[in-house]
Amino acid sequence: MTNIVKVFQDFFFNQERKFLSLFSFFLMSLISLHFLVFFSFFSFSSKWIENESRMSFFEIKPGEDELKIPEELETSIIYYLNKDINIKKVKKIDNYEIQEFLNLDRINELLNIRLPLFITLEFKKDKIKKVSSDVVNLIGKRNHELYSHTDHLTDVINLINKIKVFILITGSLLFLIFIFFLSLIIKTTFNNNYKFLEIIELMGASSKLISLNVSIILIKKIMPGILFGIVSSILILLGVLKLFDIPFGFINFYSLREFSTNLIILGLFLIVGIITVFLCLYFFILNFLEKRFFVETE
Amino acid sequence: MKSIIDVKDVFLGYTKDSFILKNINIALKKGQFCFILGKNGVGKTTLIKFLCMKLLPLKGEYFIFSEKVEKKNKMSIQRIRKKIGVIQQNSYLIPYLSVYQNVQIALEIQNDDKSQFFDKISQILNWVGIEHKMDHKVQSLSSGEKQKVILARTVVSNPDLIIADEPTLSLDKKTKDKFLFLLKSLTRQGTTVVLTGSNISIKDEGTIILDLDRHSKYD
Repeated sequence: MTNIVKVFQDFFFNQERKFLSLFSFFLMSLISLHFLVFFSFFSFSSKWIENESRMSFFEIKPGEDELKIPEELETSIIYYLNKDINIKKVKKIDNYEIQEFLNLDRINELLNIRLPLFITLEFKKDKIKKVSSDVVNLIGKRNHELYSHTDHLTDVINLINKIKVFILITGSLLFLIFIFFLSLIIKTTFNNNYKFLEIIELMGASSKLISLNVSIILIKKIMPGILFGIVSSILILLGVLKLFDIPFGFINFYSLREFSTNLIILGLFLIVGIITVFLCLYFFILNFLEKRFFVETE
Repeated sequence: MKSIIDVKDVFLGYTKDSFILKNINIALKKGQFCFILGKNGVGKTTLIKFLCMKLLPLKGEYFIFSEKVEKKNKMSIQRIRKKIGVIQQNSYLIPYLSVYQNVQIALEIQNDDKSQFFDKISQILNWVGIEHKMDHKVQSLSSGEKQKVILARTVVSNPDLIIADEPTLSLDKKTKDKFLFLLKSLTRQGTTVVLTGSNISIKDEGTIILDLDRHSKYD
């Protein structure tokens, strides 16, 4: 290690040691907590939207001379729907559910109503939402309609997107505050030790090399704080999710694939975050030194 | 012989409408010793800042090692600075580093061969007469000894030009004479030396004397 690096290390390690560690720990905990909540919410909402998008509501109205769909036909329709390779799940809405939905006191009240057959269908893919021709042939001339849930999801999707943007913006703001405070620390430290900077610049030290060295030193310094921050925010998040039974499954120990994917995302977030901090520090220090390369004249 | 320093009709100052020094012309060749004289506040430090390429001229041209000093030439300025040794007024030493480590910083910036560090530093510390305190922390040294460490740090990289701003200001007569003798001896090896001072008598022949009192704004 060169003496110049040793001196820079002394500026930041010894003089600002505890402050830098605590500061990076608290802010990084907050930032990573934000991004973890973002990813959790992202993963939860994506799954929810995907599931809902696959759902459809199939309504078959009785014929003109019928009060309800004949039982045999009903069984055949459900049988063919179950056989359909595009459909994952078929569920008939029974009379009790209809009674509850219509807020009727007694089930007998349904007997005199011309009641359509309602079936909820969960398709395997949200793009293919069609019943087979066998079912259509069985229905015959009776009116039928397939209502997709996607049409009703637009408002919910908009709300979810707004929440995502809000979490992302507050997380990014916290990140900017982190960079801003780091740059303030550097500025103060450099101003306090400017004599040393000036003398090594007059000896011909390159501003780029100084910026690189100081950025590396600072990254090394804040690294433990960042790592502890991320780990503690994961633990806090897990605790909160468990305590309030929130179905955000960012860290899902039961699905190895999902767990490893999320760990990779977390790792990428860490790498991208550190590279961004490093670049911000490098260019800030370079700008600081370049501005003072010559004595400013008006 | 090419000039090491060539200053042509330079006007210096910190604001465009007020010059501290006017119409400065200096031409120094290899191995010359230039003494810049002047009362306190006349602009000696400003001229040193300019010669170190820290301050750009408001008017005129400055060539050093045949390269023009301009704002756009930062890279070449950085390169040229490696050929110059600078002693500022109250030059800074790292108090908690040893004498050896303080001098080593100059060699680290030069990217010199590390295996030769010890020989070079020992030789230079011996030359300034402080080799016995090589491992002492700078904070334990007297001001005269500190000035010797600064000279050693300046000279260790074997610069072609030394620019010193009142280096003997806080020194006693004996140390001041020794310091000036050391600087003067460098010119015999081909190093050009520029020195400022207000209370130094230079009697040697061949010394170029620039009297700033004639160039200042108080003319």
